[in-house]
Amino acid sequence: MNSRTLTLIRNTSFSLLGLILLAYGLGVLVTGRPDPFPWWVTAGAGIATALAVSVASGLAGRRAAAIAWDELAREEWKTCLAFGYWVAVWLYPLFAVLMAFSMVDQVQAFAAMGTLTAASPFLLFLSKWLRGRF
Amino acid sequence: MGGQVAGLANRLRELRARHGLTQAQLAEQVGVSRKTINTIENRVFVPSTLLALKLARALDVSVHDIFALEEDG
Repeated sequence: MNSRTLTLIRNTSFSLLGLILLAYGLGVLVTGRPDPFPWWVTAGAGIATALAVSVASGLAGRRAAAIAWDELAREEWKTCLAFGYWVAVWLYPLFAVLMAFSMVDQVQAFAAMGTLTAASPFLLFLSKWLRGRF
Repeated sequence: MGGQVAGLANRLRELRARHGLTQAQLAEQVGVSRKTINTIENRVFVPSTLLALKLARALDVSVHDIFALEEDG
């Protein structure tokens, strides 16, 4: 496996994970249920992503993995993580307002905030991938 | 006194072409992705000192031949 295949596996896995987490978070808000679909789908997607990237990196070898995670990729991923941090911070006041107006309850807020926070770095990753940065 | 530094200019595309290398070939030589070479050439990404030195070595020039501070005014 070469670095391009590894990059494709990583990019696809991260993007799918972001979309699944987003679907769960939005599903909570749209349906009003804390479990719009089974919780293990999100957990399984996270574990499957970690496994896919780790196994692919192992198969590709150290040099291909280093190319796939070169300094541009690391820099961009840091930006994605920083974005995730600020999303996590800003979700608190947002959900405080939603709860104050009884638009969501505590259980829904917990489920939505957790999954949307987790989704955010992967969604920015997807956006950067579509713009040719990964 | 010198002017304000506006950015980092580079001649990577020109020097790479002079060596008859594609972006992918240069990327392979220095151990990065083709995208990284492309974003450096397009001045979207500023490489680390380590990568700048590797590029200079691959193209058999000095770092100053590839990169230069661009001054404003």
